[in-house]
Amino acid sequence: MPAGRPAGIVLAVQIMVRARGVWKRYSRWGDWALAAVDLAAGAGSLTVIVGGNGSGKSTLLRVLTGAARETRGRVVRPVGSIGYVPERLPAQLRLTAGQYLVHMGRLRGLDRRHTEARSAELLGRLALYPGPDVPIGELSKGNNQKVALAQAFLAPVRLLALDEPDSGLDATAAAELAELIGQARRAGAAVLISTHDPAWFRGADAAFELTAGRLAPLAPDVSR
Amino acid sequence: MTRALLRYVLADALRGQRWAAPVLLYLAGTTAFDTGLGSALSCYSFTASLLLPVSLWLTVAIGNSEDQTQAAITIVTVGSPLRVLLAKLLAAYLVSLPVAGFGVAWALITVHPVTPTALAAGTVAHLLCPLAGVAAAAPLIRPVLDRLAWVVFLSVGVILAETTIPGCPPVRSLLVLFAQEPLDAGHVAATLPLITLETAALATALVAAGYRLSQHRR
Repeated sequence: MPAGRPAGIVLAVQIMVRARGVWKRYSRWGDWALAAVDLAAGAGSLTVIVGGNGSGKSTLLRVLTGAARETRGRVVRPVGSIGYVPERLPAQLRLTAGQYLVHMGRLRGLDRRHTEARSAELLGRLALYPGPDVPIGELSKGNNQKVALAQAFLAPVRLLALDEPDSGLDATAAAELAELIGQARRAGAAVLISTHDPAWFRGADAAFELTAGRLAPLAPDVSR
Repeated sequence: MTRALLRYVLADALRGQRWAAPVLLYLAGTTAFDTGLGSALSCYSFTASLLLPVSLWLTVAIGNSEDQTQAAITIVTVGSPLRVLLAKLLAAYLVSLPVAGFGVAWALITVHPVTPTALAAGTVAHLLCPLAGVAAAAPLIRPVLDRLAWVVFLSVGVILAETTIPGCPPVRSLLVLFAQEPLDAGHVAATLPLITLETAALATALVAAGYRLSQHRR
């Protein structure tokens, strides 16, 4: 317990996303991608989810953000205040990085000037190459990922769901990503990360392993 | 945010150029239609009816313009899959309107004379048929249907139903109305509002069905 807090008093943490008994399958006769998942993430927390390929990590993030609908169970999420980064933006996206980010900023209620300034700042920090005027489909994997990250950090959100966010990133961009996540947490966002990289365990408030759609907490000695 | 969403959907879809094929089909079909042998009403029967498959195709092109991953980001950002669906349908209708305008203008250019009653009836027909086409596409776009073969098969079914089922709004009803020459202004004034209401009801039901199905597939 932190020094200075009277014994017996527990600070209430605002829950940003909560999943209760969530099951998900993509077709009526298909296998369950998620089974009986319970998860809660509070303001400012970092939750790391690991699991093998096809274990359901991406599905879990999609369900928690509202990109996909749970088949059973219930998810309570902060509607309209969520940043979501998929594994990769589609290669056929025809807008340039700059145009796409302006549109995403406008969808978040930012004005054009503010969005352009924030986009330029984010793309500068993440070192997008060759620049914002190139169609996203023509960018390399790492630069494509930088645009995907930038759209999620355009405006303050209450929940950030990042699906293998450092995939393809160079060291500079990876360090900036860690800093952006830290800033978002300090601003009160709950951050969920699916990853194969154990480095994300450092500083995480909770870590889970997903196996065949079932979520299990990782032992503290594994996750720390 | 609605305007921003509409702008984004239009910017993304229009860059894709999948809209070009149905628009060219309409322009080619309309200009190839031999108006020399027909009246304004027969011209409008054809140009308005052709808007049904054209707007349906346009809606599928615009509705499926986003990749599923891109669509997921849009839904999460907006916070409502319904708003995203409605924005795509509205975008498709807006793109259909200039195409419909061409159909209305074509009769004015090629048929002489066009009576005010025929022009008014033709204009309403060119607003209703794309509305039906856009709404009919709501259950045919992703995430409800992903396979092109099913989309084509069901689209043909929609077009056949609209043109053959007696009293089916708006196409069949308009074809029957426009077949009565000379057009009686009183009859048009009594019939068109009814067809408009029926089309609006049908469109609402189709969009609601499309949304409900999309929720099951998401």
